[in-house]
Amino acid sequence: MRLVVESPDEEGRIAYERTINTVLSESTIKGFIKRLKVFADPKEPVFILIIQFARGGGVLKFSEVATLKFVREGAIVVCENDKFMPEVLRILWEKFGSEKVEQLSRYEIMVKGEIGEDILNTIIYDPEKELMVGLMDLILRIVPEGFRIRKYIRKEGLMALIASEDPIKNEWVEKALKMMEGADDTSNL
Amino acid sequence: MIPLIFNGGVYGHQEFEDLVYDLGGFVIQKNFAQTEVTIFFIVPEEDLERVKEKALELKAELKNAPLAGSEIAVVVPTISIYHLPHHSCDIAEYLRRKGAKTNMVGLSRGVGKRLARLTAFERDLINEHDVAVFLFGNFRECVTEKMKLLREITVPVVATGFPKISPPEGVEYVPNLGRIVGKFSREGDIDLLENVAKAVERLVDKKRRVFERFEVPPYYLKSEVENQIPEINESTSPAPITVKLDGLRIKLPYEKFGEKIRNVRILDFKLGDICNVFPSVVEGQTLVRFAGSW
Repeated sequence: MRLVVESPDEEGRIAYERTINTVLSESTIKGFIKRLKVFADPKEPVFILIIQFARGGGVLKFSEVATLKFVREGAIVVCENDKFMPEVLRILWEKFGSEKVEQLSRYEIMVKGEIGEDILNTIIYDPEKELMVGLMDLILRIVPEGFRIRKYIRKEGLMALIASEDPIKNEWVEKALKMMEGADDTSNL
Repeated sequence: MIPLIFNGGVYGHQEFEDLVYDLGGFVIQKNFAQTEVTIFFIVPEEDLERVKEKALELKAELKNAPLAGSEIAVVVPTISIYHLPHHSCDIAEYLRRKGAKTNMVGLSRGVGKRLARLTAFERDLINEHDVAVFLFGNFRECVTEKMKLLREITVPVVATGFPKISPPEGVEYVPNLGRIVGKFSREGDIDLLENVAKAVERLVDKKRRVFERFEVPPYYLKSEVENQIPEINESTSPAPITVKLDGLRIKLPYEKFGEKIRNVRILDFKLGDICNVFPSVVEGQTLVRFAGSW
């Protein structure tokens, strides 16, 4: 992931770079972000944030994260990824009720019942959903809090935010659009 | 008199307290945290060895407390949840470890450049403290503009911010300390905290020298109020009486206890004769300030 901060105030630029780096390192969605570009001019005052998203992996279905072993009473679901285990367990509980679902070990769940196609096709992990939850949190942490007037522009794989304490001017929007165009081009970053 | 912090187990701390009083010292504040107790106290310099001996016997730790007996306001433009953890938390904690009683003040309209302002309540609240520490942000333009907030503050002020600027007259400015998201974890960060503490110490020392001419020190007033108004023990506040450089903050409502506080006997006169007693802007608290100190 690349981060670029631009500002006429050199000291402020250095300090803000540290701030954004800390926020990003603690964010849950840092894997979804490819590039981040910031322009801050406290004289105007305006703050522009451009986020370019990385191509996230596709959605994961139940059948992709878990394997089944059939036994006499039902089936044993084996899911070897800790990240998806709570979601797998939640779906099974929802379908069969907690009395028919028993967790045998860290990776194995015993189900007394038949696991049909509908469960196998359930979506366990959707990166888009996760991104949306984390994105607002990330933006609110980065943008100066006093800049309450905000405008969001969304394009394919890109997002721009213009924030200020005064009404948003057209020239700022134009600048943001220009930065968005430039964001695709690697040489500009 | 030398201010110190006692950090140790609850067992035997009463003996230690008795020793402090026997030596002619005073306990400024006492806090319990489960089985640990922290006592801020003050003892004559010549008896330091005896206090150290007793602390060693109780296996407790003694530390210097240069800011003991001062009440400091740590003022931040915002304490919103999105910005947690705030750097103000670390600064307030560091000052606390130096012996100060710190109060965090989050401004309701402190954010932004042009929009930042103090409400009348916030201004009065900050002016009740001994020293105010204002924490500003990263950009030169914003920090310079926000210095206008300090115009209405009548107490000594320490301001921090990232750019190196020349502050207005009378303001101690600590550079390189802007908006830091997260803990102070880098190598140089503790030095920044130390810089703030040093700046606060300088201002506290200056103010302390002014109040040296009063023959009755505030911690003496505190022990007399504690002895003569038993209701103070029922207060649920962690520090029912806060010692300030220029008097006391008593966590009792003025309407009910104002007259009682005025009538507290100090040597051969009353507290009302040497101090002004008036309600604080915080509900349920009373301020005692030496007459002629402002």
